[in-house]
Amino acid sequence: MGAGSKLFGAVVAVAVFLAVIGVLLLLIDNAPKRGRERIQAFLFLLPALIMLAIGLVVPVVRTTILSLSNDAGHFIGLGNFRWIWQTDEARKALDNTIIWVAVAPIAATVIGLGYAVAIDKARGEPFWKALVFLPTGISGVGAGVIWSLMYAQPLGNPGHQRQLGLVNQLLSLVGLGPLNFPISTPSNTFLIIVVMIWIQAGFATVILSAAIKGVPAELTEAAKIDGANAWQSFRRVTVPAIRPTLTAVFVIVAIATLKVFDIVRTMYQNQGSADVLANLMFDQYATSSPGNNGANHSAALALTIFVLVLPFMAYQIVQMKRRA
Amino acid sequence: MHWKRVAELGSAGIALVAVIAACSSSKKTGGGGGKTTGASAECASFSKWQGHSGKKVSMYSSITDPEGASLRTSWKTFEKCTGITINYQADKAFEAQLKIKVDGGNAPDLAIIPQPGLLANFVAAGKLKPASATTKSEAESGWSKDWITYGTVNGTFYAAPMGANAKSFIWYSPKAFKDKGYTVPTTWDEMIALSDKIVADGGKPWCAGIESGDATGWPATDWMEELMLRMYGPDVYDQWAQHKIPFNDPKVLDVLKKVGSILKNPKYVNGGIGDVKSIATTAFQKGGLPIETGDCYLHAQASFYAANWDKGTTVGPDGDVFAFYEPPVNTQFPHPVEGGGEFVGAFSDRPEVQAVQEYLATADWANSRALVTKGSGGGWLSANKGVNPDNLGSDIDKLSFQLLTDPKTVFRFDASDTMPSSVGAGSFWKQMTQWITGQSDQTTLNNIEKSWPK
Repeated sequence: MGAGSKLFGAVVAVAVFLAVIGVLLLLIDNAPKRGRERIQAFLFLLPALIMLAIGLVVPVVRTTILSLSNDAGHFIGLGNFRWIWQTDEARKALDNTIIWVAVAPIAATVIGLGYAVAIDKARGEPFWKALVFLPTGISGVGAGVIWSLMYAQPLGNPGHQRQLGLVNQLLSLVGLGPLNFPISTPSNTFLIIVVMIWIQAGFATVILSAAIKGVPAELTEAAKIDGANAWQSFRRVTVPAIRPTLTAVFVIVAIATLKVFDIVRTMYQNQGSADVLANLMFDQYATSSPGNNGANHSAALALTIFVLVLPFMAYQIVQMKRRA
Repeated sequence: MHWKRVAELGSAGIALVAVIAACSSSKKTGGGGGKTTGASAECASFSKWQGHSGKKVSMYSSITDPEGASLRTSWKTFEKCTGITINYQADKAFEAQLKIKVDGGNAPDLAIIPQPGLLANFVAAGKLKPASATTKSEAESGWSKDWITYGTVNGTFYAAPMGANAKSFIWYSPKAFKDKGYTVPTTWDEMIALSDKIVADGGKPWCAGIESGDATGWPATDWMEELMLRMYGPDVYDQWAQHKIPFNDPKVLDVLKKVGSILKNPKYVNGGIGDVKSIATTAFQKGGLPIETGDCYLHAQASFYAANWDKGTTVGPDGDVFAFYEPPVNTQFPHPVEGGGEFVGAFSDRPEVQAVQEYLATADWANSRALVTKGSGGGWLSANKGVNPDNLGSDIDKLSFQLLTDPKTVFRFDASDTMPSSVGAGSFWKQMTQWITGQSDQTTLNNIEKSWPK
């Protein structure tokens, strides 16, 4: 029956696969070795290559084909990418994603660095570190729900209000109006970015704090003896010493930002154009219907995100090579 | 690595896999079967579905607990008497997940689909199986022709309706109306006159909320549908829903203007909540609550809104809150009713799956389902004529049932649910939200028209 036989089938398939690989490895290992190292190495790598092909290469190729065709399967060139460029909704998501990448990684890295320096060697450092690191452990969905409640609009006449988020409460104390989240653009995009920074700053703090501790004490002491003040010592000694870590943190946060989905999915409610590429990608697939190329638009959006991530990855790889 | 070690590792792996395989296969034969089929009088009416003892049928739906638990209770006797087990799984992200399951080759046997548009998508993709002749005749004997049409794609009947709800209601407070001397309007003009009177008395007549997470905007689409049905009648409504007239047709523009004359009229909205824009940020569940405190007098929402009133609020013709039939606009179309419902579609035609599908199409099942919630104050109804109104749990359920099964009624399914999902569950919702927050009538309709699949 259904699930049972499927599970059985899957187990058999895995068993057969392992058996074949086992026999193959046995044969290769038994074969004469001299002069055939390359072939042997290739054969040993083959299982991994096959897995990679199934798990990575095939989906990438399929997604690429999907992104270049319509839902009837006909090749339409760059039509789906043109759709991203020409549709207000998709254009808006692209613009917003660029705003996200311009703001979130820098803000998270700078805040993380500032905080790490501020609490460095302070009393109760582990406590202060834990405090800012906690949000990193909260799922994006959880964080989204928490912040949606923080931003909640007042509901009801003054007197018997049914709900009012903390942020609006504080704003009303200083005489400012409600945020109008999530309908007012462009503030909604920035208010959601705040959540991403809230999550990522803790990550940046912990990593950068460890890097700062790794800077040899002799260096900072030497700088002090040479008459450098705290800022000069930070700017000229600490920052250059932790530059590789700074870059890594920035790149990791940037890539996470480009792919951001959960926070936006939870907080953005189809309102006021705060969409981003990854959320639109899911939406296009989920609401696709025959004739509207939804899955194809979705594939094109996936590739667009991939292309946007590439320079960051390339930069990171170059940095890694330089260090090695 | 020495070959011996490789061999050891390999054989260990194979042995492990063999053990796992043995475990799973023993589980398979151990479960199922052996269940005794109930006999006696209780099971007499289930005899036609017997003979599938020990079989399992998977069912997937968007109906989560507590309604999901009521559903499972409603077919307990069927399971006991036939020996068929229904594996019920519910998911709030049903629409997107079902597509993923079906695309991935993991379709459930049965799915409870609340949108005829989604149903048609699966038919177009060749995934859904036509319903059996028995299911069809059961459905036809209980439901009106309008309903059968929504389970039919290109002349083939696929899915019988299961539950129903009536949308064409305006919620109000009978107590407040009595205190202020207001009367329930029976025409649209009377309703507008009443609204103006409330304004003159210093009140805000209407309150609304369209925020609903991913689905934000849907209550505003209901407003358009109700008015389309009332201003231009069922035929134009169908043309609009099927895109035989463009979405930015002058008639549609006319309808949106009329909706705007209430929803975007700062004198009329948003009673007890805020300004016009606050409609977009107010949860639909909370949109009508100011009626309880007398800050608002009228709220358009379906029969199922009954579940959202605060505890201690009595719902009834003489209670704190109740609903009246949304009055007609044009005398040519005197009794239109908009509503929604779910359909049971099958992705498999195994006999036990068909047996479950048949049973769920019967009036017997509908009565069984109604009785489950009767004790807890209702909240479920069907438009199956075979349902005994006494089995329904509340006044609003009875009123809705009466409205849906009235022979004078011209029923139309929620149009956004019959449109392609990229519009009906996408651009229509989004653009109506933009419209509330300030976008013009024409731009809104042009944008939806642009998004319609070619």
